[in-house]
Amino acid sequence: MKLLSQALLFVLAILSFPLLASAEKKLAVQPYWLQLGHYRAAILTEWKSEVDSAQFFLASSGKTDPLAELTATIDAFNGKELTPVQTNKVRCQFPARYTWLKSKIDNSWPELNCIKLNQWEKTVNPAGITLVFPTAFMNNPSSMFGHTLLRIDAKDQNRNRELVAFAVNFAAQPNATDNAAAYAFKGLVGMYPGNFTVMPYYRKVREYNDIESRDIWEYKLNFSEQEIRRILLHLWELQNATFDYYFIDENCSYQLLSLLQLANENLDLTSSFDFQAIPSDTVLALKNNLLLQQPNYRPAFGTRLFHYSTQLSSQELQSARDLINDGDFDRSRYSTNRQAAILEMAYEWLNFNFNDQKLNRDSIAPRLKNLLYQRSKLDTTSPFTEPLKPIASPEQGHSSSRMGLTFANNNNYDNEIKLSYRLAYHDLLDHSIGYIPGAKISFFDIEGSFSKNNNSRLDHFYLIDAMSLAPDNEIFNSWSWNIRLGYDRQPDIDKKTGRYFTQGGYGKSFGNPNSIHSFVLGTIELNYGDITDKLEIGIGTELGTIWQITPHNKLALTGSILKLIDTKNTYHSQVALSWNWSFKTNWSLRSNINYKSWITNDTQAKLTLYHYF
Amino acid sequence: MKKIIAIAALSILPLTQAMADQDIGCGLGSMVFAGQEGKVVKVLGATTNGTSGNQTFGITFGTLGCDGTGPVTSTAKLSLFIDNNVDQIARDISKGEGEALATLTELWGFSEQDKATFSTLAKTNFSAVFTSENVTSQTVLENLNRLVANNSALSSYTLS
Repeated sequence: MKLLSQALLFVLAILSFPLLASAEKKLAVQPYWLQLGHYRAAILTEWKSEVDSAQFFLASSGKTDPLAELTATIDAFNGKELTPVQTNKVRCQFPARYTWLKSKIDNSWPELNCIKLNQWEKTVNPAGITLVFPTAFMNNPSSMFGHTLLRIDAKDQNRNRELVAFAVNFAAQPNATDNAAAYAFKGLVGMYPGNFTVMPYYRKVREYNDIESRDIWEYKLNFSEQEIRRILLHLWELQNATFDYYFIDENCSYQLLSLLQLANENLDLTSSFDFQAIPSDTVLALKNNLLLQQPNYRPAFGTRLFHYSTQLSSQELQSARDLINDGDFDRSRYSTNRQAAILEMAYEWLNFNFNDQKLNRDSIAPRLKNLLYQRSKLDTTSPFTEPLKPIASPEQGHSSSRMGLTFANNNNYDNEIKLSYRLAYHDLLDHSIGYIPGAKISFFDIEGSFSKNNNSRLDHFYLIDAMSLAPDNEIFNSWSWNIRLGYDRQPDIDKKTGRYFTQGGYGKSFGNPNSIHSFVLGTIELNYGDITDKLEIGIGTELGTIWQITPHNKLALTGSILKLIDTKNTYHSQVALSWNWSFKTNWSLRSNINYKSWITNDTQAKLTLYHYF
Repeated sequence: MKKIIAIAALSILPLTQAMADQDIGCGLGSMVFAGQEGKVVKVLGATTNGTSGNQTFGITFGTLGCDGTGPVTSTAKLSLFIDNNVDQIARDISKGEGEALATLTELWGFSEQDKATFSTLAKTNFSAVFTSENVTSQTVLENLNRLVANNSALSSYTLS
């Protein structure tokens, strides 16, 4: 009987071959099929899949040929040259392809029947999907722009079960035997394969909220149960798939979008990202597709600690400090409630410093335990309130790329018109809503100028220009740093002369990035190029003050002076006064007066219109 | 002590299986108090945004229990949660409130009223649960379970 039906199928297949072939050709270029295979338009071949693992493809040419892959998939689902057990296995390996194709072509395929998949769906018990966005973390190159992951919310979930929901994370899988430098380098250039993993959500909360002290935003996504099922079926297909992982594109955010867009056939979330996909942009892409709901907020360890400290008097803070250092404090002056506040503050503070400064566990752990023990003896509820959700969530900030048009008036040179472009992401004067305060990352920042004699030239190119200015105060012992790498021009006789440089600084900053914030850094640089005869080392200082009058209005005075070692010029310096007015979320006007000195000196006044996109 | 008798009775089983049965849940033994990895370890693992040791628990895709084969049981879920959140649980127990404690009582399966009883019980017996700074998450779970077993209102929730 089985033989007969197979023979019949075979005959039918031969008869209908030309008809089927053209239908398959149409299907193979449908967006949903291309998304299922993670195909993107390529240069040498027409298509190329971003998936690198061979077992993700059923056709030997599947990585570059969506049609061959479609034919091979349909053949396999039809059981061609396969035993029934093998046929079912391949259907269960590709359940998203199966359900989609089942609705697209003539077939007599049964409903999916997969034991492991069913068990998994039962365990996950999905009712909703939440996009989780831990904000930027300056001390980790791969997280400078933030990170995104998904949380699958279960049907029986309440706020207390959120932590045990499943998180879906896309990350590079580093080789455990590589050293730190190799980790950083290979991670940045995409030498580690990336893949999807599923784990309890609390692991990610501990990692981002507590260990790295990053605020987390949680956006519930508008997907129906049917759409969520499609997403999870495809996630199942990806469990052994590996991808190249790059820093700027094809990263966690891009891959999450490529998974989410399988929710329905009309969704296209990835094609607008040809070059870069940084987390805040991908959040915006979801918002533009009306998929985002109002977010929840999980404050970082540091955010909580600082918020607690604002609820103590200076005397109480001193008592908390005594308690950390001596193991005790003068209780007689405090009510039970205030004693509880001091004990809780001391525990959080010591635990934060342990984590932040990598203190010795042997000396810290007994003190932490003792603090909790003393707290447990007080019969009162916690006196602290938790931090409120900030008014603006990250998707409300300016877009991450920027272009600018500048009119510049120079003291010693011709007037110029300048065009500038920055790939990403935020500087200290840009509109601060939605970005972490006191941090700057300019990535691929280029400016060219044109003067009236049709002289055009490259003014500057910064591959990276980053500053992390976490303020030092009585709660946090924070250090600030910066790094800059690129090319710019310095005043020379009759012209501006180019230099290649790399510069790093380390120091302290004070105040509040949301009002008045100052920094002073010790700095060292290497210069090379026409401005110098040989490799030249500069040592000096960089300092500045930024006054955020309102989030839309900022004034900054910055400067640097560096002693040049072993050359005829003894030093170079610069001072700049800037004012930035963000009159719309994605538009701002910036004026700047600066003085630069190297071989000669020059004063320049600039007016720039910026657009963020 | 029932456990030990049970193990004696089961000692004809292969060694690994008998050992696994000895614990409630997975028994991974994270140290409480400052038991988290320090920043240096994090910096190594985090440059690529991956968590080192995602696969530690054999839950590569959320389907496997702690021994890497069977499905996740509710007790395994509870003990894994304690193992990963033991610092936060200790803190919450000392105050008698907080998300980690709320999640623990939820996973344990207490009714709303018994959650409060449990929280007070654990708070007043803090030093019996967190016996030293070197106590492991496994011992914490056993100590909590002992408190529950010896409490007339909660004894029906005893894990076995």
